[in-house]
Amino acid sequence: MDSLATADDAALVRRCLAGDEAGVRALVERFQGMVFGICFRMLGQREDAEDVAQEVLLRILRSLHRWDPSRPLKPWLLTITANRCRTFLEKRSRQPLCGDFVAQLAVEEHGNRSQDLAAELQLALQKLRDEYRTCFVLFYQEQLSCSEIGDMIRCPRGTVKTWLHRARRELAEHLQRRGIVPDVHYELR
Amino acid sequence: MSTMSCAEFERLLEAAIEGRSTVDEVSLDRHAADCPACRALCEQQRLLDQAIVAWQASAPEAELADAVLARLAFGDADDVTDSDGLSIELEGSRSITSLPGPAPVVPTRSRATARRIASGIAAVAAVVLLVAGWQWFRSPQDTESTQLVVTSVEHAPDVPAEADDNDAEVETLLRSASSAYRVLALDAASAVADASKLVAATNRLAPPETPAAAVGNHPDVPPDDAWERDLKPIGRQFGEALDFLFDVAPEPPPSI
Repeated sequence: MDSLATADDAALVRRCLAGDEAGVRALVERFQGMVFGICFRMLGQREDAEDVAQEVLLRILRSLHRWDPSRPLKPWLLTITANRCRTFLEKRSRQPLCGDFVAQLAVEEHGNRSQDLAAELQLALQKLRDEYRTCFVLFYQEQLSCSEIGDMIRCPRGTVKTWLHRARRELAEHLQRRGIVPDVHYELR
Repeated sequence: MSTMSCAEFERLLEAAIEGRSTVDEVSLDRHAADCPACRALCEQQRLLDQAIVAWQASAPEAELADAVLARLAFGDADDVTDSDGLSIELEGSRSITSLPGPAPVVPTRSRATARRIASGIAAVAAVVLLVAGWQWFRSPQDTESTQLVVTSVEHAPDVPAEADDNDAEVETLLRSASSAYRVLALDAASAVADASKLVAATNRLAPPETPAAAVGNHPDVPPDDAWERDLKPIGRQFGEALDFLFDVAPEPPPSI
C-alpha cells in the first residue's frame, strides 16, 4: 500500500485500468477529499455533496481511459467535478427547496467568530451565480490561477477575473448586510 | 493627498486579489483615506479576507472509498445513463466492473430495501390502527343507538311489522361490520407475516462482509444488520397492535 500511496497519478491510473482494486481504492482515497471539498463548497449541503462526489468518482473511474497521460490529472478531475456540480445545481434549482432556510438556521448555531465567518461565507456562496461560485471555489479552495480556471471552464482569463471580482464584491456585501464587521478597522499608513 | 483615482484604486485592488495578496498587504490605504467610497470598499474586502481564511480552515472531510468501490463492483449505472453534459465525454467508456475478489456488500441498497419494507409495514399498521380506532370509538355509539331504536320500536305497538324489519336490518349490519373487521384484521396479520418473511429472506441473501468493504469505517454506512435491528421494535409494536385488535374485536351480535 505504501507504494500505492507514493505512486504518481499516471502509475495509479495504469493500475486502475488494469483492474487492480487496490489501485482503484488508492486513487479514490487520494482524490476523494478534493472532489468532496469542491462538491460541498458548490452545493452547500453535506448529503448532496456526498451523493455528487460519489457519482463524480465513479465517472472518473469509468472514463479513466479517456484521460491524456501527457497532461496533469488534477485539472481533468476538477473539470468533471465542476461540471457535475453545475449540472446538479441546475436540477436542484428546478425543485422547490427550503435550503436557504436550513442554511440560515445552520449559520445561527455556531458559537465562535471564526466558525461564524466561515458559515456566513458558505451561506453567501449559495446565493452567487454558478459561474461566480465556481471561480471563487476553484480560486480559493483549490488555489488555481485565473488562467487555469479559464482553461478548465473554457472561458477567457479576463472573464474569470471579472467573475472572481464580482463574486468577492457580492460576498463582501452579503457579509456586511448580515451585520458582520471586521476585527481590524481601517488605519492610515 | 493621494493622486490615485478611484479607477486606479479598483484596478490595483483586482490585481492584488489575483495575486492572492490581502487588502492589508497592498498600499491602497492612502487613497482610501481620502475617498469614502473606496474606504468602504476596502473595509468590505478586508472583512472578506478574514472570512475566506476562516472558510478555508473549515474544509469538510468525507470517507467515500467504500461506498464508491461497492457501487463500482456492483456496476451501479445510475450515473452514466443520464445526460448531464458529460455524456459525450463518457461515450464508449469502459466500465471497471470486474474487479478481483469477492463482491463487497452494498449497505446503501440494504438500507433502501429495509426502508421500503418498513414503509410497507408502517402503511399496513396505519390502516389496521385506523380501523381499530374506528371500531373502538364507533361501536359503543352504534350499540347505544341500536338499543334506542329497539326500545323505541318496543314502545310503538302500532308499528310491529316495521320494528321487525329494523331489527333484521340492524342485525345484518352488525354481522357484516364484524365480519369485515375480522377479515381486515386477518389480512393485516397475513401482510405482516409476509413482510417478516421478506425481511428474513433479504437478510439471508445479503452477501458476506469482506475486509475490503469494511463498511463500519464509513460514518454513513452502518453494519449490515443495523437495519434489521431497527425493524425489530416496529415488528414488536405491530404484534402488540394486532393483539389489541383481536382483543377488541366485537363478538357476533346477539339475536335481538
